Amino acid sequence: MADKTQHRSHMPLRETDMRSETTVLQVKDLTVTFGRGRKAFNVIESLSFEVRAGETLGLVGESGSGKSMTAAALMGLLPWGGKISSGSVQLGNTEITRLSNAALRAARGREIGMIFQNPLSSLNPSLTVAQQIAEPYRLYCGATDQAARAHALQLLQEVGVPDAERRLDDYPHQFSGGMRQRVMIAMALTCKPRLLIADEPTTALDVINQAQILRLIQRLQKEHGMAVIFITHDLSLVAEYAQKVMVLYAGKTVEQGPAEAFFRAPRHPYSQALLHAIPRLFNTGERLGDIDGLPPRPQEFPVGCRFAERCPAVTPECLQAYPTRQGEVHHFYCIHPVRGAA
Amino acid sequence: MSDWLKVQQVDVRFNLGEGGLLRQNQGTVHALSDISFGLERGQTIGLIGESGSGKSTLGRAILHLVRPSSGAVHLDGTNLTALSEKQIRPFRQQMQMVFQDPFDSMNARMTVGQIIMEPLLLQHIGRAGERRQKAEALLDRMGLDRRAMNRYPGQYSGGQRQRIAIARALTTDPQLLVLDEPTSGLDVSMQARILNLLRDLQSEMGLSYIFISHDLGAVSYLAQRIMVLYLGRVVEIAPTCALISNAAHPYTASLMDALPPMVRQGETAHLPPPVGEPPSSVNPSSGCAFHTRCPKAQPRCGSERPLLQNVAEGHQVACHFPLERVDRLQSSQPTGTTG
Repeated sequence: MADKTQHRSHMPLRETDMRSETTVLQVKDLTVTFGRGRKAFNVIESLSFEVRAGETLGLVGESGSGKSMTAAALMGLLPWGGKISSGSVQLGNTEITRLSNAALRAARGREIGMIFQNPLSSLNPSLTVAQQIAEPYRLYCGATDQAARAHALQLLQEVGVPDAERRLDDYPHQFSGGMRQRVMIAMALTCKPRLLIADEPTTALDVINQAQILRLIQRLQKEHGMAVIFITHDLSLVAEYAQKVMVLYAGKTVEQGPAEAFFRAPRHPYSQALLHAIPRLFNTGERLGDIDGLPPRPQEFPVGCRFAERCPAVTPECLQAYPTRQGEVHHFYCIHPVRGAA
Repeated sequence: MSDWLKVQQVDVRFNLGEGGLLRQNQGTVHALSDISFGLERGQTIGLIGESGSGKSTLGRAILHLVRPSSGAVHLDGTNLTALSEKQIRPFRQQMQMVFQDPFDSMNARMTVGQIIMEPLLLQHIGRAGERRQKAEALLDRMGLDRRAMNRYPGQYSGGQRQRIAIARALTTDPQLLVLDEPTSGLDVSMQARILNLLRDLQSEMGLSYIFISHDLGAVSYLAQRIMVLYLGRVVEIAPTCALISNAAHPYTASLMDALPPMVRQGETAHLPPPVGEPPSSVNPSSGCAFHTRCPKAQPRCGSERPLLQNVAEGHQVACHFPLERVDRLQSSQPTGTTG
């Protein structure tokens, strides 16, 4: 945490600071449903959050918690059979749940950039890096081929690809994992998006590449004043890079709030469990906290607390109904919250 | 030296282009150079490094899945490197490997039962019924349902699959497991379960582990000693506690600095993560391999290769300008733990 304030303090004052007051994305009661009629089931339910310019929201959960589905819903890229069944998603002043496909595509291309976990499977192997970075710039920003190429070069330099001019005409397979992820970032930044969604951007990378990539995103965020949604399963990374935290479990928010308050005193047993699962360098030989079992499948979500089956503090009441919200800015959904500091 | 496993000056080199269309040697990849270390029974050594550092190759060379080009590997007094492929086979039962990606390392068309029993079948151990019993007992121990025997790996999550892979590795009652990034594709909570399981298995069965990873946090949880590799060479080797509290090589220090503050807890030497990527291991330069990325590099580093030297009991580092103990004392106070 100290690290973060340090970074902030030597950040120059500029126009991005004025923009940091503006809300870039506001999501209210977002629910995504698959199937119809009796077979319908929700994969995410009643998620609400907002991200301001220059701010990072850490979206945390295990695989299957609905974090990638949330990103897909924001992008209008839900898999076949899935739809936003209620709630609103406001990007700037535009309600994107009501846009036509074409209008949504244009808004997405210009306003939202996205980085995925596996750059090799999300880059086109048969196009050069220059072609891929330049494409959105031509499509959504109306640039000429020449201007787009010059822009691609500038972006590659900005994300720290060495020898960028020579590498413009290379294909994705000619880059290493870390460099490929930089190409993805360059591509996501082409149209200077207001919102960047980074879905597990460093899971496939080693520690050094991870630090390089996350610090790069942080730097670019400051320079461009972007809002960032950082999707990860690793709370130690959220503690370093995010100002807000939202912990998802089985499609629902279990705890949410400013990073500082959250890490000072995480209240939900699931948040605690995620924190105790992280191996630290100076461990005292104490056992890592592990959570037995698996999260329930969306078709089998229980009426009560969804974590109840795996929770160490479970009581019969937990199974009766979904716990009500407790707390204001930093809030959580649990009848038996963890007391005091972590 | 009463080490149970002894690795002595192991080199692994691959010739490029040999036997290819043009049949000319285009250079030699020095995958590993001059690697030596020992491991006692029931202990864990961690191998740390970036992709391309040679840590996986070292794991394979120890099992002789890749033959060392020179040097020797002794297991319980036997020089494996001097044995023929046929003579090595019985030793393979004692040494097993768990691979990084449980999706790639399992045949999707075999049932979990077949996968777990395969090593026994290949080594002609036991009768069908006995093999089945063994596999079921291992599934129980891994915390998996016995019904898994007739299911396919595709029906399981990454964490469950990794437990199946561990069960498969344990069927021949090995004494040594080479764990090649066993948790790197997993969620933090799954990783914790696998690490705890490995720790329990070690104390129950007296297993020795070679734990390969790029994650110092996970390695320090299991290993008593850690060896840091860079471009196929040992840059630092030390007891875990000494390494994390007194990292002497700038590369080790920057690996630690790359960790999130929550994981590294205390302060580090504040070396920025190295820029760029490791140089090619084809015909490497004569100097220190890390000098191109090292924040502390001097002209000497580019021309003269540093040798491993003792900086403390059991703590060796290959650097002309190891981080000063004074720096380290100032910068490595762990907070609120007994480091």
